[in-house]
Amino acid sequence: MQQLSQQVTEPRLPPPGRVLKWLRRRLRIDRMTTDWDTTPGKLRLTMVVLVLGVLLSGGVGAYAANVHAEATRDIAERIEPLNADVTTLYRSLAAADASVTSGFLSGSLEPRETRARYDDEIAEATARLGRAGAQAGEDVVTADRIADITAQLPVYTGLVERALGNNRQGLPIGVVYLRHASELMQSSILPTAEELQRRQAARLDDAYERTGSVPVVALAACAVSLAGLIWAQLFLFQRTHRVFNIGLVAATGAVLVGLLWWTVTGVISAGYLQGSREHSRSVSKALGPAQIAALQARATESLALLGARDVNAADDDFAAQMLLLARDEGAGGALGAAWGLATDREGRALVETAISEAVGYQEAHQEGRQLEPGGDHQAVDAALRTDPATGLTEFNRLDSALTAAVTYEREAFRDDIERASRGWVTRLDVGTGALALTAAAGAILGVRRRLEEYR
Amino acid sequence: MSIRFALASFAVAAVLLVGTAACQSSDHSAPTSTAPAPEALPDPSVVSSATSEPTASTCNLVGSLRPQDPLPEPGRMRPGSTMAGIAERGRLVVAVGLDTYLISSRNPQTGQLEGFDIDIAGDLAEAIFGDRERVEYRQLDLPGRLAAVESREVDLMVGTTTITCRRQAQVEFSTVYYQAGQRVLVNRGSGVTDLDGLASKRVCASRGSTSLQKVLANQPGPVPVGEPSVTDCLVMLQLGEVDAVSTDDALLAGLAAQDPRTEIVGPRFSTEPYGVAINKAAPDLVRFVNAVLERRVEDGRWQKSYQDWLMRELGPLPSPPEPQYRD
Repeated sequence: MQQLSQQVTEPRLPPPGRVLKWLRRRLRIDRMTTDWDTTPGKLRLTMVVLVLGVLLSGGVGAYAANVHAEATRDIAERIEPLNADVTTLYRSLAAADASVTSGFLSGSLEPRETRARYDDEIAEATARLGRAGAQAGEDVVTADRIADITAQLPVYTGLVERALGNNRQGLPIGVVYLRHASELMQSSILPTAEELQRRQAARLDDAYERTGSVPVVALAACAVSLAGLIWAQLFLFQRTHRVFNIGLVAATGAVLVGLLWWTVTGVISAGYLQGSREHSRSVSKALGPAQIAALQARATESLALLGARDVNAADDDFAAQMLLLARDEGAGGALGAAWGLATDREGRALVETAISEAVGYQEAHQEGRQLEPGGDHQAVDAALRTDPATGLTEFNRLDSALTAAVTYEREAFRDDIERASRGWVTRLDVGTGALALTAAAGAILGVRRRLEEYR
Repeated sequence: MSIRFALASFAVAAVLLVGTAACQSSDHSAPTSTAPAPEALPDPSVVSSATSEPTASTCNLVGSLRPQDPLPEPGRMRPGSTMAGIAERGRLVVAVGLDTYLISSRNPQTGQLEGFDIDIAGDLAEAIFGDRERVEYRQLDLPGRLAAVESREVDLMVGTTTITCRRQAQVEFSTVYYQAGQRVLVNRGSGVTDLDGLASKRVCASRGSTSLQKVLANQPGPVPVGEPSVTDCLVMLQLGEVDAVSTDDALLAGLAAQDPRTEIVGPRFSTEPYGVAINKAAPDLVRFVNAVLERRVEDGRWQKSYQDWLMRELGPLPSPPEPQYRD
């Protein structure tokens, strides 16, 4: 059925003039033109025009509906899952690094929580790598980048294990191994993951563009056939003085139902699609980068406190990462963008919480720098200080706030995309085709009956 | 070795004879430059290398400013002095090297920095405040340490830094607090006994260091590899990325202590006088530091510090360096 309707609407249709000539010849209705003035002649012509109009609008409409449904399904079932996988991969990698480096701040025995978090994040990253690899399909660049990360991740974890082993023995070389691991992560693995993430976000944008096109041709053809049907009924009423022609009424009904279905679906589905796009965009363009910036800032801070990096160079990096996260008290940076992209009050409230946590984290960092006397080890204490209310460090509170905002937007996305791809939307193509056939049959039957009266 | 040492001593003596003012006039770099020395180029002002002929050199390497007054009581710094400013701030800001075992490294149990250099910083804080804990450490790489002293971001720097003429153009140095010498660290059983045995092998030292310049200058030439810190060099050695580490024995001691499968081989082939670096605009602080350094040799703290950190790897106590002054 779908295929049939698609054939009708092959883009390279011959010009309508030639089609009419061909139809005349095939149907041997040449003589109709000679008796154009007779009522049967007019009826025949009307029938042909109606059938063609209805089938054309149905075909074009079914095709457009099919494209729309496919793109929606593509977003919901393929592109967004892959996009979510690479986004999570990116975040997990950064989180693993932030977690293991901050664990070193506690001394030679890393706290159980940071070790567990590191293990979890590496496991998560490995799982996402596998899934993303399986979904990459024929996208060579994506497959290539995934292979890159897959090759580098064991080198990273190997360096981390050496770092942990040496640190357990109280040897400062552990911290240097940690810096080497972190450098591999920050300067090679994470940029690759970022490239992957950007690529998937761009594919998602493309898919949304494909859902956004309004089927002008289908709507125009629909309007023309509706007008034709009404005109035919008025014409028959004048000639026959019968109010209802059941066939034509049924045809009109079918076209009207189709039009209504189209309009309602178009409006509602477009709304949900737009909503899902905004939620997805706020994660990929703002909250995701915010998470990464925060995690990278944490890793930078830890390495500087551990004496593994030149403190001034690390401070510059930290400041740059915090500017990416939120500048001007949260008016700019990724969190400022996230606030602008948030679509509802709850989303904005979550971003606002994250902004205030970011400010709190930065203040804790500054405070650690300015503590006196004792210098660095007090800065370590400040970086590890737990909040009495939550039992979390300032950084963990920021991380949780960001995670909450991301989770909210992701759930909102999933709700919207689910609503946008419900059955009555995805079956619009079949429905349109069926309605068009019904309308065509109605037009033929209705006009034939009148024609028979002239035999 | 003894000949080399004698040559080195001769070089030092010759330098002392040349006088005090020569240093400024002969320096190649602009005194106000904060840019770190390019790492790949040999420092033309390095004269402490005993592998090269002692030249009629150029600057007073080891003569510092003589302590003038007896050390004031802690907490009673002379008003208007640099030390009074530090006392008012409440903490001494000290640049030290990135984590370097036995010299300046974080004790994972206590979270505190400790080591041979940290002892000096502690003694200085004690002399100012009567409290060795009143120190804020800034761990910086070598170019960063010198720049921090120049910009007065820190009060002083204790960072296993060899006194050279070029660096003297940037900062003022205290008297020599340790006489280090460059040696070679290799994996046990490598068969290498000195730098000459490392021709066209990869040899690591920290970026911007005099050690790296000497690796570069050596004939037959090894391939020099510059890393942010000497501990990075040990990482590279363990990962098989380099064949040897060559730097001052005091630093190699910290590396050998962390990896029993390595050993320090060959004789010292240079003398590296370590000094505390202080901003040129604070000569009173230089004199104060020199007085504290003299006192810690007299009361045996220098000796105890050596025994605590370096003796296990570097052998029996050497005699502490004799303080030398230019005025």
